[in-house]
Amino acid sequence: MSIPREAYQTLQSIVGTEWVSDDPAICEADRYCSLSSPSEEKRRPGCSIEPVSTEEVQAIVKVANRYKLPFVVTSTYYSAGTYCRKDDSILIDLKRMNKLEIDEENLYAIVEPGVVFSALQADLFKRGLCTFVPGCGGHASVVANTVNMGDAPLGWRYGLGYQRLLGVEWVLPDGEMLKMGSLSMSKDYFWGEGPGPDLRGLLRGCAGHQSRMGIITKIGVKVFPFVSEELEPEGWAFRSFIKLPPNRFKWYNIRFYSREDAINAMFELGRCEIALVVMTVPPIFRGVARTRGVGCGGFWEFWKDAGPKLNPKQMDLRVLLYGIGSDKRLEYEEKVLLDIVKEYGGSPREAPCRDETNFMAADAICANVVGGRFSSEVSYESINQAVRYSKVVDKITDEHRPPILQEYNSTDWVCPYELGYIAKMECLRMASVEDNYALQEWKNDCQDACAKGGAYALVPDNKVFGPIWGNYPEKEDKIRAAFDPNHVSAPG
Amino acid sequence: MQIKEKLTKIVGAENVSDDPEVLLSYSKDCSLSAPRMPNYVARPKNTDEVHGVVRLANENGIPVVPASSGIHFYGNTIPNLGGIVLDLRRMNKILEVDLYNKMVRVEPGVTWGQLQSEAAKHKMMGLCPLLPHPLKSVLTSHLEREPMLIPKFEYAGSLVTMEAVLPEGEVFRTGSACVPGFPDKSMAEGVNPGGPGYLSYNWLIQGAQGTMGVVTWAKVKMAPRPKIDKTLFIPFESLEDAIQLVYNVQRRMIGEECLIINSVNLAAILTKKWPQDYNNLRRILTPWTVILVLGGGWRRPEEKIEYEEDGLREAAAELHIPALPTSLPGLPGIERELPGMLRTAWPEKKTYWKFADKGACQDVFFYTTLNRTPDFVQVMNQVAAENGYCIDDIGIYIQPMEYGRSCHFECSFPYNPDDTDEVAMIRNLYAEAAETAMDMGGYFSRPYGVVVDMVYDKAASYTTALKKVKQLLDPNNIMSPGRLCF
Ligand SMILES: Cc1cc2nc3c(=O)[nH]c(=O)nc-3n(C[C@H](O)[C@H](O)[C@H](O)COP(=O)(O)OP(=O)(O)OC[C@H]3O[C@@H](n4cnc5c(N)ncnc54)[C@H](O)[C@@H]3O)c2cc1C
Repeated sequence: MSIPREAYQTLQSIVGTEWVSDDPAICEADRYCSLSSPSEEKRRPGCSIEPVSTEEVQAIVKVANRYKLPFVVTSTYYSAGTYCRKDDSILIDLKRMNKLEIDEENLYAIVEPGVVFSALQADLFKRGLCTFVPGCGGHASVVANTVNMGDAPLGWRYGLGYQRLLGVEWVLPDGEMLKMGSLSMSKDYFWGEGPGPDLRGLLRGCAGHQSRMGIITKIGVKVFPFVSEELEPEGWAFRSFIKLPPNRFKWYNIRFYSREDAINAMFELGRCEIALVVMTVPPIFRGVARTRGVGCGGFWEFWKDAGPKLNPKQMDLRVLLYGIGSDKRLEYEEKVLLDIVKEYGGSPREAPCRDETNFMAADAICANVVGGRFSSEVSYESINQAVRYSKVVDKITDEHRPPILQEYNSTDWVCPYELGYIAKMECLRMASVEDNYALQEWKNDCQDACAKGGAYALVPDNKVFGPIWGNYPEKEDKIRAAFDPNHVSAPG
Repeated sequence: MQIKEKLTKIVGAENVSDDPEVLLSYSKDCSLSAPRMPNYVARPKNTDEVHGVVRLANENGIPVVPASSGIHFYGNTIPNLGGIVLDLRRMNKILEVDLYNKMVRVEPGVTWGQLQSEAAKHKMMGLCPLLPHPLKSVLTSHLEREPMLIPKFEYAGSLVTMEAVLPEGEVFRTGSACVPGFPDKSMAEGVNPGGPGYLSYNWLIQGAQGTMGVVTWAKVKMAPRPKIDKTLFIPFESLEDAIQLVYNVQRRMIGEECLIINSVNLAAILTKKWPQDYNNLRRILTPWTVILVLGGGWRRPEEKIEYEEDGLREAAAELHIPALPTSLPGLPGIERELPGMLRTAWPEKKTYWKFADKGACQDVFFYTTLNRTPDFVQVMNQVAAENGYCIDDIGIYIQPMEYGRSCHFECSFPYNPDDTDEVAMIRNLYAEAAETAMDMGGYFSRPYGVVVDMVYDKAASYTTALKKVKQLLDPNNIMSPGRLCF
């Protein structure tokens, strides 16, 4: 099977012959356009195409509809779940669409899908502004990340992706154009909602639709006030960092001797509205950071000694104090932090005034460094839910260990956002390649426990959660049928 | 069985009416929208009863129009096609004060005064719009996305989750409130607005003016109430200068409530004795005032105010602003009174500030960016003058949003509702002002009255998509038909 000749020629006429290819070598490479494990499910695309404008994207989608060819879209290839699941798919790669505009005065940027966080951040720093950089790294597409996920520790001040989304230009699955927010009525991207009911509700829920509802060709994203001092980069990956101006920033690592104390301190930090980053530090993350550049063997060597010494009752917080706006602010924040730490019996330790992951990071994602396979149970809900649910996950993990590797229940990460109005919980678990099945079984058990205990998991299994969460899959199916009548947008 | 009997079975005889006198009060509001009588009014007391009424309406193809406040300003509870007005004021419980997550769960009938006095007991405050009417519902302020006075990004998206009776009668909870056992037996606490699944129902129902379902409770953000405050009234002759200060201050992430207001509105808000104080104040106030409340946080409040004052002084010095007054001429003690005023509803016993001058008021409001507001002021004045409206009577309120990223621009035209000529002039002025603002790029995210058609004609692709969604959620078009583009 292959893409009909006529359809292929039309695609060529849209983007030019050099920007579309059905060469098996290229298509085979694009079969693995996502980070997830190789699997039978991943089909080689029928062709791979790189449009440069919204008009080209729209024309391609119309061709897909005319010939009923499935399409899958990628901006920067870092998604775990997106790949062609059907034969003769068109893989639409948006990296050539990389225009970027910044409205410095009014704190927003207009980005096309090929713009990555590092590029945006570098331009913002020049203007005394800042954006969020996701935990997966500065090489991710701002568009793809914001509409699908958008989380990282800077979310303590900058929220999750959905909070930063403004006007949106969207090629729907049938090729029709939808413009949202202020863009619906003018050329401005500065406002996101409405008019009237907010159709950004079709774009993403807890996470995004992962290519199953057409293609976003441009968005406005909020950016944030920042300090005017320059941030100087130093070193080379894996040992690169940014030097933070010490009159504006101060890192603290704080050890609490009970989880309750750490959590209460976190709530109190939220009430006091201080800091730029607040999160727990899973010891295994620290282990990974310490063993950068030495490979997974080096990590496990280190962990063999460090892991068993962990005290499961302890919890460490990492806090980045933020002296924006006034020379005395940092001093104030420090006093408040230390008051809180004292009240909850923590031991504070000042950490070097530099940053490796939050502002620029090209190498932030460290999970794969430990080798083998990993899986994680992730949830965005309250800090309280994070604490309760991670305990449940820990218990389930013990039942699957071995073959799940010993991480001494030390991976449970609580990262609150928006001054604590919402929080991420991530419990990472690892196994060797041949024990991958154990992670799947563990995941199933977690999902069952989540359903029974009324927790809110990020990636719910529709069969388990559909009937108890208001039959949401049926509603999604109806919406998709209305907007994608030919069922071409990333089916399967 | 007749509809009235069926309604009686659901909500009880004393909570159903088809008495023309009762219906009359639901047929009109404080706006210029055309009146229309409903056929019935039903006053449910809980979700079950709302559910019963919506199902009945859906089975019989009868329009349902939800109403939560005791007063309405924009015509969006007038039953355009008759049917049942669902008066939700009996549902007025504060269901939960969630101090950990700094949120509160309210039924539709909870008013701002009610919420703020409860929140204050817990050293918290609801995120309040500018001096809401005492009968205004907290839930609808959030549902309608009214701008709040504190322009912190972290407070945005203030309506977090909700329970809604969807048009076909399903009781549905949005975001993480969908989990079984919520709120008492679940691990989730209803703080994630997204989902369930890949859609955000929360967003689809907000701003819908009752067309997508009946919201029976909502969980909304609160904020810690500052322990002490310092209020600044910074006077400006020119709006351009006021804006620069606001940009500068917000860039430093300083302060709590922050707004720009002209002398007409400020006088109306601060007048104690009408009309002498009002006229006097209008004379002595500068054309523009930036009101900024510095709030001492939960800990070390004095020190917080101290560093914020430092930052503010720096911000002002950059612009050569000579003084940062903490009082207003002729109003001793107002600086202490104002933060409290801004954190609750307008007092019940006083005529509402917007109506105090002439008895009624027509607002034109939209979003724009701060740097564009002077152009809008100029054009609003021009349109007003062309219509014979005295430009000195126009009230202007500019609410910076999210650290000054954009703003809500609100232009108020007080008028005498008993003067038919003036009403006709205002009607025309309103339409022209809205159209002109829209042509200049003013964004009407919450369209009402004559603005609705202007907006949806212009937002063609959005309108088409919106109609598709509405058709799926409300195939019989029973929820507030005739509203928005439905
Ligand atoms: C190990 C690992 C760690 C991660 N950590 C984080 C994290 O800390 N924070 C975080 O936010 N996310 C994280 N993610 C999730 C994900 O990788 C990111 O959200 C990332 O931004 C997605 O990759 P990308 O930006 O390269 O987008 P892509 O891979 O290009 O796309 C992501 C998804 O969006 C779709 N898509 C892409 N472009 C468009 C478009 N223009 N219109 C419509 N749909 C489009 C794709 O089809 C795909 O489904 C992580 C993922 C992995 C595998």
